[in-house]
Amino acid sequence: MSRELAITISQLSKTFNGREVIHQCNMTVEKGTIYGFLGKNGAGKTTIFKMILGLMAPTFGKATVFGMDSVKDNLEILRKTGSLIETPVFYEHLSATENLKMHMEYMGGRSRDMEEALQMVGLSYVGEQSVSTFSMGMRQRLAIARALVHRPELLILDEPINGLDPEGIRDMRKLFCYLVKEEKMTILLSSHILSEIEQVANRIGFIVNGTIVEETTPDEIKDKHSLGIEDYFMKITKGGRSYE
Amino acid sequence: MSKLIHLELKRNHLKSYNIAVLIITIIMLGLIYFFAAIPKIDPNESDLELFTSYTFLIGFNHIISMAIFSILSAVLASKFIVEEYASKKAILLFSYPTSRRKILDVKMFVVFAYTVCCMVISNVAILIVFLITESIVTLCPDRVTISMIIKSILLLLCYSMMSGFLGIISLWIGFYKRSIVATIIAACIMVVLMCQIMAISISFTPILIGIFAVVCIIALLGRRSLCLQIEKMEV
Repeated sequence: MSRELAITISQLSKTFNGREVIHQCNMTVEKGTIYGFLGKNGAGKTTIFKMILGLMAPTFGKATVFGMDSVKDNLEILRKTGSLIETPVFYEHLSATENLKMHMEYMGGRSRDMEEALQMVGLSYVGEQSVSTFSMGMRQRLAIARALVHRPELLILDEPINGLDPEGIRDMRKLFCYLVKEEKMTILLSSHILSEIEQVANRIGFIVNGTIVEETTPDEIKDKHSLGIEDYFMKITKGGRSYE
Repeated sequence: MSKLIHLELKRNHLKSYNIAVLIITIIMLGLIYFFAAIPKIDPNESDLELFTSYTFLIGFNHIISMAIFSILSAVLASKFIVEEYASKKAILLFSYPTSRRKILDVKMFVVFAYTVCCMVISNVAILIVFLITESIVTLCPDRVTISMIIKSILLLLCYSMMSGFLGIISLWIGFYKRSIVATIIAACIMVVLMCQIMAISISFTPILIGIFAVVCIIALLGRRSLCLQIEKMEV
C-alpha cells in the first residue's frame, strides 16, 4: 500500500555563481516517518533543506511539501513546518519562554503549551532564564522546542543533536520517535552521528557532492552491508576508498 | 499589523534610544539658549542680527535636530534591519509564515515613526521650555506671535518627516552593501548636504516644500527597492 508523501523533490538543482552545488536531486519522504539525510560537510544537505522551506529558490526542478510548491506556497508550507537550520539563533535578551511565545505569535494557529514544549526537550527548569546564559546544548534543545511548539506537521532539523551530550542525544532520539508515533509528525533530519540516524530513521538518503546517490532503509543497509552504516557511508561518499 | 509592530518592539529594546533622545533634547535646549545669547555677547557684530529673530532661532534649531535625528534614524535602521538581515537571524525571520514584505514594512514603519515622534516631542519640549523662559527673562528681542508658533510647528512636522525619510534612504544605500557602517556614513553625508540646502529654506519656504517632495519620492523608491531585494533574498 502506497503511503502519502510529505515531501517530494524532483530534478532539484541549485547553482551559485555558475557552480552547480545541487544536481538533479530526487527524494521522497513519506508522511509519519523519519527520514535521515546523510552526507559529508558541504555535500548540499542544508541547501536542500533551505530549498524545501523556500529560503532559497531552485535553479531547476521543484520541491513540494504536502503537495504544495516550495516557492509559490511558501507561507503555507512554513505554517505547517517547524525547522532548525544551521546554528540556532535567538533573541538573546529574552528568556526561553519569551522566545517561544514570540515564535508562537508569529506562527499563529494551534500551539502547544510552552511549558510542555520545554519539558519535552528537558528545559523545563530554565524557562525564565535569559537565552544569553544558555550553553550550546541548551540552545540546541531550545531550538528543537521552538521548532515543535506550534505543533507542525513536518519537522526539518539540520543536525539537531549537534552539541548535545550523550543523555541529550538519547532524549532527542526518544522525542523524535514519540513525535512521529504519537503526534503523527513527519521528520526530515540530518546528522553526522550515523548510529543515531540508523536508530531513528525509517529511511535514509545519502548525498554526495550535491547529488542524492541512494535512498534506502536501515534494514537494507544491515542486510547488504554487514560492516554497518559507518562503513557503508564511507563506501558511498568516498567511492569505496578504505584506509584499513 | 499592530501585532507585528508589537512583536518588533518586543524583539528590539528602545530604552537606549530613548536615553539618546533625552540627551539630544537637553543638548539642543542648551544650543537654542546659546544661539539666542550670541548677539548679547557681541552686540556690534551686524552678522549676528539673524539670531535676534525667533523664526531663525527655532528654524535653525529644527535643522540641526533634523540632522541629528536623521543619523539616529540610520542607526536605528542599521540595528533593526541591516543587522538582522545580514546575520543568521534572517533565516529565523524568513521562517515565519508572514510575508517578507510585510515584516520589512513593519520594521521601516517602526524606524520612521519612532524618528518622527521623537523629533516632534523633543522639539516641542524645547520650544515650550524656551518660550516660557523667554517670557520671564528675554534673550531674544523678537515678539512671540501665534502665527510664528503655528508656522514653527508645521515646519517641525515637515523636518521630522524629512529625518525619517533620510533614515530610509540611508538604509537603502547601506542595505545594498548589508553594512551598518555604510548606512550611517550615507546618513552623515546626506545630512551635511541637506543642512546646507535647508539653511536657505528658513527664509524661503518653497525650497523646503520642493526638497521635501524630492526626499519623499526617493524614500518611497528606496522602500520599493528594499522590498524587492528582501523578496528575492536567499539565506
